[in-house]
Amino acid sequence: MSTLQNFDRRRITGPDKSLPPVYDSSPSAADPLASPEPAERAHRSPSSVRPIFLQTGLIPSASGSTYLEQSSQKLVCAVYGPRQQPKAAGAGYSDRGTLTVSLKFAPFSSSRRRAPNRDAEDRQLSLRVQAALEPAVRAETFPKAGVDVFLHVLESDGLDALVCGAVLAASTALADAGVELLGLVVGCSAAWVGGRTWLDPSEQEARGARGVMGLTCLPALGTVASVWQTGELGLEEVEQMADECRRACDELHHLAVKVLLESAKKRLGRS
Amino acid sequence: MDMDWDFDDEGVQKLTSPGEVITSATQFMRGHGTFVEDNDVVASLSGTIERVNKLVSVRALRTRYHGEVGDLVVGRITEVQAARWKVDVNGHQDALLRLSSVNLPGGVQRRKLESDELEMRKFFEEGDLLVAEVQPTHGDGALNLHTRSLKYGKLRNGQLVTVSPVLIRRRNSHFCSLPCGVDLILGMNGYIWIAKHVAENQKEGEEGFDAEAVYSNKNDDIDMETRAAISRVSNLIHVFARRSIPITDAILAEAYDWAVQQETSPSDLLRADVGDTMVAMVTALA
Repeated sequence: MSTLQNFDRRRITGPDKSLPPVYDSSPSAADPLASPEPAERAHRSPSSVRPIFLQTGLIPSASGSTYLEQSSQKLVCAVYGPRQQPKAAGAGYSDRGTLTVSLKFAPFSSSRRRAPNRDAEDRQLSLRVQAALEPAVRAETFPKAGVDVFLHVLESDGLDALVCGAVLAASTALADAGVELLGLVVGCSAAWVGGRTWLDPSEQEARGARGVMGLTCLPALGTVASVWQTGELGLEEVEQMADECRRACDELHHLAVKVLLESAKKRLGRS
Repeated sequence: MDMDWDFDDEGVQKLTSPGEVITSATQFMRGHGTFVEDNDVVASLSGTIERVNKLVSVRALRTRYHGEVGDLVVGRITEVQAARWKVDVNGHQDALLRLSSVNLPGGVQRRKLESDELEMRKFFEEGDLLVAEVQPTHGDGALNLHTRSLKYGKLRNGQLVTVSPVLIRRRNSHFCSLPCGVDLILGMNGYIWIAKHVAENQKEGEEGFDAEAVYSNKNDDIDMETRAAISRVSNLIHVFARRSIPITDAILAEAYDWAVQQETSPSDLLRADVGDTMVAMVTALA
């Protein structure tokens, strides 16, 4: 009885019997930090993006939803609204709608466990996704109401790549929800490794890079939504990386349009 | 210029996605779901392109409800405020139902007293379902509702089904009775109310009409047969909604007859194969 009383309800209790996890053999051998700036990229060419699976309509109760999978990056996006927002204290009248983005990691989504609600990283990433989506959403079409975007990361590999994947998933879900957009926002990240641009770097690749940047844009209008950069990069290097990113974004845009049109056809029974 | 930009080779309406250029803005006007950029009309929604003469608009396949004056809606009370209720009608914002725009028991002409304002929860409480009509709206897009007719008011003896608002077409009457003894209210906002049939002599103004029951929270006794009919109709609506087929009383009556003939139980209708055969049969007849 006393064990029950001391039971900590906040802790996720594991099964009675458990085995230690088995890790990939010798991770240090593949660690790029051991040999900085490898000359060749393993498994894919420098200018390639990991293959993408994108589908709409995963969550029936949401206004719009998508599931995105990019090898070891998996996330679910649900869009609710435009809907009535709870009255915020001190918030004045605005004839524009609001967009809120909340990105959350599943505890098992990274190599290190992410404690729910203790993680500070998700808030910062949410802001980055929101900054990319805001220029595209026509907030004047839903005054006083709000659109809520919820992103749930099931597995992540590289935070810059995650932001870009989240932007793609969220803008497709917004279009699926019938929220008016100026265009679909897509994003691509790049790392500068060994004097070359590696698109869509994984976590390991980004760690070995001199600098990493990300770019989100609206290829339909030819405008850039947001840019960020970390590490040490020269102007010309950034320019070259941005060009490569935009080229990749054009392809991603084609994919998102195809997914949307196909889901529309399916819904109209024309498939 | 190619005049058939809104239809594809097979003569069906073209689909578009946000940011796609539809046509030139010098010859056409922008409608809902579009904007003008560099002399082009550009889509801002994913959906079908619709054109009426020179007006180009894009209709999304899934949206929230955009209210129009005179629409019949089914809604749910979310909040009781000073002399008004907030109603969820699947729109961008909650709609408003003022105390002055409901019928209170005791006659149409009865004045609203301060005591009425204190007992607003006696009429509508949070979570109550009601049917109402849309009145001229606020400037900010919030809808005003009224229930100043005995046809409107609180709902009971039935079940709510929600579908996408695009599946409900505007028609003469949104109150329908199916031959199977079930009444339907097709809310323009995609909320559909399926209820036990009310006999003709118990309707408003008739001798059997029970004025005290208007704001009652108690369901009447519903026999098993009616319950089965209600759940069958609700499952049929789910089946049609999943396949984006507009919902009318005619198609539901047709489908109901088919379901009874095939002796399928209400829950069987939700199976994919049964649903497919049902839809194929009914759409072939239509």
